[in-house]
Amino acid sequence: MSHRIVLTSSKGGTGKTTTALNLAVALAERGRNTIVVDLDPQGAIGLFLAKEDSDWGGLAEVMITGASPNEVLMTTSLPTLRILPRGRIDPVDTCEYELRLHNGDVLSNTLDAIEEDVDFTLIDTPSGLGPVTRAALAVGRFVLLPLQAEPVAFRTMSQTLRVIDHVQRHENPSLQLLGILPTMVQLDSDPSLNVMSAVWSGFGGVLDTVIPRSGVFTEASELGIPLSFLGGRTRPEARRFTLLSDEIEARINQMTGVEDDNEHRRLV
Amino acid sequence: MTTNTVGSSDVDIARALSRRLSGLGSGPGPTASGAQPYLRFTPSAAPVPPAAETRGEPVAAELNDFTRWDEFLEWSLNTVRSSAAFAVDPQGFVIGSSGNVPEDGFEGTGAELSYVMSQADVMNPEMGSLRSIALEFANRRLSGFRSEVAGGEGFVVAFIDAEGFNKTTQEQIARQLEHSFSVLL
Repeated sequence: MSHRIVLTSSKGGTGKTTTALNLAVALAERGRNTIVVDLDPQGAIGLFLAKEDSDWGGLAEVMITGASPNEVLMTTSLPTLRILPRGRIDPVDTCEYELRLHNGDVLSNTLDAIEEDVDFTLIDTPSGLGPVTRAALAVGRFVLLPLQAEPVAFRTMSQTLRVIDHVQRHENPSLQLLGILPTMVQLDSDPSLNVMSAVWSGFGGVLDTVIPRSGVFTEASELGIPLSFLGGRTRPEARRFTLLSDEIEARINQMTGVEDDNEHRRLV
Repeated sequence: MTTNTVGSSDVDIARALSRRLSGLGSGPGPTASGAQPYLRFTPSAAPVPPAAETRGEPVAAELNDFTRWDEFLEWSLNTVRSSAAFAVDPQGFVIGSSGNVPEDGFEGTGAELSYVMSQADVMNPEMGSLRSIALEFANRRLSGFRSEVAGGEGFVVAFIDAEGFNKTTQEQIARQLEHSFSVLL
């Protein structure tokens, strides 16, 4: 059964899509069968990968034309990574898309249909706490909350956590906070350091991995590729996502009661 | 973190929630204390029922075989997430209701609603007849739509404080009414 991870935050620009894509690549490169689902009405995953807005069919085709979910699932150059794009939805119909996604079972049914032999399903949501986010939280098992390490994003945390708490209490009891992932961390900047100090002192579920602010993300987005696909030397930022995938897998194992099979070893 | 950058209450709430959600906190967290500073749209601020009961059926959902108005109305009010629903026949008489029905019923409201809709029909003949209406009062929201069934008779299905009253849910309910109408008692 696939571990469904919803990436969400009420503030925009916190790194949800960047994290979803690069984490998915890291998991896939570890040999885990992974799917990225783009629920953002703007089609953030497609835009990140430098696709035209109407290049890819996807969830919209499932919802509007009745296409089979597996039919619109995109393969990638990594055999273990596939993408369910948003689809060719007219931006004018965004409201209708959001309501249908929230009011129906289309998301649940679609995920059920594509998750055979899948280890991880990463669901990228739009910023905000509206119908799409709620629909994703209603079908998710884990929530990953990217926290941009700056004051405005920090101020919105209670909103996001409150919605997660509400959904867990009233709609989806199996939902768990997988972790808070600090992003765009800049410890040589006082505001960023202040936020990190506050988060590290007393918040639960803060991941050990942090994603630093770096120009390499812009470089990758300009080329429309994940970090680890950049040519030349392996960027340290790409290694962060390898660490993140390791930490997330270990945390999920811990939360679901799966024992790690590592045994003590002797050096001498 | 300096105290002038983030409200301490927000930080406290976020901290407590993060601890509870990640399994570190043992307490119920600040949201369960009833001291939330937020306003809620739901009339009683009561917890929303489980998703399966509140979220609407998919647009292409199979039609149900209802035989009674109260069954149909109960399904309708869940579909639009309202606190109460009632149906009004073409003569303005309430023929069924469900949910949080007031002591004196919806007879008066139904008759007035029917009258208001008939008045709106003649507002501008070029616009055609009124299909739906949404009225915001100080204490309640009243919304409803007219569905022509059984040879063009206009039955009104109305809701109190509906959260999901939109064209999609209207069409869904209208299809269900058309399907069930001949057997509804």
